[in-house]
Amino acid sequence: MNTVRRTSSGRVTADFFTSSYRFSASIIVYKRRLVDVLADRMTDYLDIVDIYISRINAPGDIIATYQKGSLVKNEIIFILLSDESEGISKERFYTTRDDIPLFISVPSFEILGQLKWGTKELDIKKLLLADTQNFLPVSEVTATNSLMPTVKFQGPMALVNKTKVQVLCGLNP
Amino acid sequence: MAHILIIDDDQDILRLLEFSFKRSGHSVSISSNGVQALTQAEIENPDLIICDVMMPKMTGYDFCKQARSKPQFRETPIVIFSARFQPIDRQTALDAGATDYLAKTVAPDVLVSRIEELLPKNTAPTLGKTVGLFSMKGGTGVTSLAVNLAIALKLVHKTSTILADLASVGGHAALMLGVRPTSSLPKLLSTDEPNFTLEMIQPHLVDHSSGVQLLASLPVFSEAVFPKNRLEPLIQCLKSTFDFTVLDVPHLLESPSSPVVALLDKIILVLSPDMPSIQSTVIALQGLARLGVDEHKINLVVNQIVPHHSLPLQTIQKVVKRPVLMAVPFEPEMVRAANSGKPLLLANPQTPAAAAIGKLVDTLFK
Repeated sequence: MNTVRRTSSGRVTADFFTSSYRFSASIIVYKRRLVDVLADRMTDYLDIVDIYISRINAPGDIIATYQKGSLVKNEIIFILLSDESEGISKERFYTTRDDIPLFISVPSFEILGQLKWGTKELDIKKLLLADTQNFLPVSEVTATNSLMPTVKFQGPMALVNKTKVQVLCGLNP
Repeated sequence: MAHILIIDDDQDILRLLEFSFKRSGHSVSISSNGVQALTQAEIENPDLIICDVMMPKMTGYDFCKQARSKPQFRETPIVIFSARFQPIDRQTALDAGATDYLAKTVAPDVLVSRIEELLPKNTAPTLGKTVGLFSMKGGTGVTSLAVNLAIALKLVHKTSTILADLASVGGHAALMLGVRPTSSLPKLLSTDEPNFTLEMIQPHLVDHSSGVQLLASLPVFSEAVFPKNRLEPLIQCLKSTFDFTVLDVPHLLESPSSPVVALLDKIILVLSPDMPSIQSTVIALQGLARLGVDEHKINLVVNQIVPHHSLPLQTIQKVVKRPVLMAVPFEPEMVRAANSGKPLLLANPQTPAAAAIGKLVDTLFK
């Protein structure tokens, strides 16, 4: 075990962002990765526990706490993870890929980061539509609130909801 | 080796951290919520506290704020250790009074080494400071102040502290600490050995939960003569053994107390804000001058034992011709504390009187 973040109970803690709120919460993933739990098409909801809610304009202040809740997967704009491995499916983890810089516009946020991509030319449409996963893993992320640019969030990995993407710009490898 | 209190609602993380710090030679206690941890910390007085943010009942930020409001934890390093890892989270933790902020992405061995850097180095003051509290007039609350001062010294400096009740019989320090002594100062003084050692003293001490050790007065009436020539070597031994010795000195400047006065590093002359007490203080100051006591050692503390009809501080200072070091405001909870055997500083640390006693410690040994 490299860190004290994920323990034997299979619990992962992450920040879930909507356009107005930051939910710091845990999700029981057992032996799966969070990205695989998100890709589970059996449910549109994500059951979360130990939820600490902050408003986007004061993201350090905890305004409410609850023991359990459900997030509508499609209402999540992006999820910020403290461990990169949680954002990459087990099936893909060992694939060799290059990092390409990305700019993504989603409601209330602009996201800068790196995308793991193969050697072929970047096909943005394919990236957004053809993949089986609804959340796009982006590494080395900085998410800036577009209305309050001083409000920034950073992390080694974010999972961005593809259905919320307004604009995605990238460079070829 | 340090004593570390770890607060986290995740049992796996508690176990992991407990194991990591114990393996590094530290003693560890754990708590799964902030409310319980506050009480636990008051009893254990840890050298460092590691606290999660996201916990039920009380967040880590609120724990920090509440801990910092108690004099006992003003200097204790508190490290927030959280899965919320944004720069704003670090700032929020520091604003709440945390010493440092570490994200849970850190590996346990890195965490241990970071924590060890934060552990207080030996910042204790010079060994063997002795402070004696007394008053020429009874009923000024000398014992209450002595008990709370000893606890404040222990909590703030985290070093060995002894409270000796020098009343030959019927002293109240044990009562106010809520302990039952099995031995007493007169019994210790009656030993035949010419000099005292820690081994000789230890069986006569009572351990209080705050960490203060008490050398109690005789709890029953006795006509036995207090062997005054034995008091001096005893205090010399206490000075060389304990970092702080607090003496609750009987209120007369007669023997056996007078030889003790010369051994004190600080003298706290306690008075209440009324004319009889002020008059007694003037006489005490004359007596101390006659005993050749350095006047810089003498500190006046006004203890307001009744809520009303107190003389103003300016009047008191004008009459005694000396500045008053500290005024302890009237505190109704002081009586409840005495009745319950739990000193004010532990029972109600947020009261103005407790804060004044905490400040007195800072002022005396800054």
